[in-house]
Amino acid sequence: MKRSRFLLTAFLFLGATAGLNAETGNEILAKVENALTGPEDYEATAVMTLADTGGGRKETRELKIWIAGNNKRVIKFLSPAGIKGIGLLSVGENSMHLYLPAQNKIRMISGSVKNENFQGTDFSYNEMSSYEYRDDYSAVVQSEDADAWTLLLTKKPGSEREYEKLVMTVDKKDFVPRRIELFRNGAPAKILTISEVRTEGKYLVPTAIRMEDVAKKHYTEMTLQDLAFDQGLEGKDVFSKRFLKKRVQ
Amino acid sequence: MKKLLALFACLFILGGPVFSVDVGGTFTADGRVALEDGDFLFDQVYGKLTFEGQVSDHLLASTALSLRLFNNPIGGASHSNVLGVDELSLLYSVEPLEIGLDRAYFTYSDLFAPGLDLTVGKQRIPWGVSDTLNPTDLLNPLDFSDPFAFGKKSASLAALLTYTVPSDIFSIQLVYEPYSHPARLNALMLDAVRANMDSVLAVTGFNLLPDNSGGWTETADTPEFNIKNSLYAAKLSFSVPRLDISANFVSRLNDIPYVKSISFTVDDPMSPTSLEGKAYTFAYYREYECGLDAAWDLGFMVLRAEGALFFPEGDIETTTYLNAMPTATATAVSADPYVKYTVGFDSDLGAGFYLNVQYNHGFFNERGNDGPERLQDYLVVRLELSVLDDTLKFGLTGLGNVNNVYDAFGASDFFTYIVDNGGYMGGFDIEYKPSVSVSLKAGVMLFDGNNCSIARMKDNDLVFASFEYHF
Repeated sequence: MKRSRFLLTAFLFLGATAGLNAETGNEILAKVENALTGPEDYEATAVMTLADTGGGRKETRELKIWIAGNNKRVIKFLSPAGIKGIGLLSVGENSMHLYLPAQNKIRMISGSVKNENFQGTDFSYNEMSSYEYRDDYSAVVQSEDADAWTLLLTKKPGSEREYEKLVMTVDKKDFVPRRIELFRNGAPAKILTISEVRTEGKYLVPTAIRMEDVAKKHYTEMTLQDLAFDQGLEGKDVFSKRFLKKRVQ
Repeated sequence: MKKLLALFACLFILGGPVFSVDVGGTFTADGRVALEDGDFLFDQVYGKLTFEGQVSDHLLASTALSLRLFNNPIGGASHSNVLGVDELSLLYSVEPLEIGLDRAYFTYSDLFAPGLDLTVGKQRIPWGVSDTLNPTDLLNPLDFSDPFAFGKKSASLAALLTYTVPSDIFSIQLVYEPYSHPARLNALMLDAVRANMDSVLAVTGFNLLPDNSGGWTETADTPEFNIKNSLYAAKLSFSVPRLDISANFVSRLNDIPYVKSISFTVDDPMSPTSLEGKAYTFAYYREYECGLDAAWDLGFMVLRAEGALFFPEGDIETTTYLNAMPTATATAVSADPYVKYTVGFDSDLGAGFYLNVQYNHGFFNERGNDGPERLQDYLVVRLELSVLDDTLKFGLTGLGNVNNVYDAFGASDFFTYIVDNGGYMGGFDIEYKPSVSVSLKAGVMLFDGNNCSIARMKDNDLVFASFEYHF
């Protein structure tokens, strides 16, 4: 009797622990999203460096981004000249428009490009300044040490995300993911690294982000500057085709 | 013109200390060689200088100057390589250079009320959601000066008033252009007109007489610079997620000329023994257009459709004169309404592949349901493959042309009709972009066909190369 009571207790404990681990993974993921999507909206200037991991050719681009909530985004290129003025408006799950200044024309583009690389960078349209995972992935804690959790994120059935699983290292201090490995066909296809996080007012913002395409041996490093938060961008009608055509300094 | 350009440049330069002016530009070198005989079909250097300044929170000023250098002497009178001897001493004949005002406008946003924007000046107002062939894009005249730049249009002097409600759900555009500009034609088109005139002459039998005319006298009655020749237009646009739709109305002068009159002069109309004169005159007519367009994102592709219903202002006629007496009248463009339309889709297929397919009823310069300029049918397929982070792009273009599908289905033998009245263009190109501001492109275009628009190009199989740099 004593033995069976012990077994029952052990089972309950293990079950509770397993349940706690699964919950903790998703809870941690929720805190990651909360930590990184705190502001109602923000705008920033971004400097992007595109280069070969082996140290080959290097190119710098400057762009301006406006983001509100989880799914409203405007991106405009400021330099170099070949792409200056090109803008992208993304509202909702799949509605995307591209502004082409040479033709003075706004063109609807397919939401299916969201998994394609954004204008030759290593970020996909989906990955540009976006840290949303909970809708598409369920997380469990894979391992843990004194400083960080390592989460295993598995793609949910029906999700359109490109990567079947992610391995995310989350800093215990601030719930910011420092490294995310994105797996395709069982192998890491891309590695996202957040090397700098800045506290701006009441918000935590990753300001130095690097995305490496493992197969192409190429990376894009993005540094955010001139951040401004909670300016009521939606009220200013920033997420509109009219704004997309406007020139920015 | 040069003074005007200099004035604009000075205004922007002097404006520099008051507000920042962005200066940029594009440089393009472009060469095309005919495979048949090695003729350069096109050899030019094109440059564009742009000046843009945000004068205040609400006011934007923009100007672009274009420079185009033709790399071969062109005679001022002959428009060919045959120059007058004196012309050899003139720079503009030996190294012809075009200077143009590509655009010059200002936009005042939130004029009187939030969402109300006014743009005034020389501007390009592109309407329509389709790629390349836009039947509703009628506010700027066609520019055929590069016969292979299909659909290129010039900016026009216009006032554009736009009101947009927040979140883009609805917007309205009103356009007024004081002058409805004619299109810029090219030598290929004019040669086709001349060949047509020679065939008219052959019908009269006057071509068998001794010709003392000294060649065709050619004139174009461009529209008077009068308010009655203005263009006015309106467009309503609606947007919901994944769907953009708009309806428009345009009243303008059709920018392609028609032959208004053909005149022959003989020594004796009753019993002619010699041809003393032959002439034709171009003119322009007003038309009204009602159009609809829509772009719909289906997730895996975007459907694009555009239709334009045209109403010519009455029957547009060509009158033939013999010794100044009208002898015959033919309909150049019937008053009957006709529809130009485009339906198609484009899709990112993944792995760097992009597909664009368009079916078009009516090319830029075609009009009417009947006659030599009637609407023909075109299927355009473009497949691109981008590799190496978009630094290298391979493109395949196929264009099929039938004159026209309606008659093909009515013919006793569909396929024979297609062969006798159809044509194609096949193209392959490679583009290398060592950086996003530099592009090197090369390719080949092959044409063949009979009795259709594309057949006119069949002696122009070519290879091309271009270099483009943005700064």
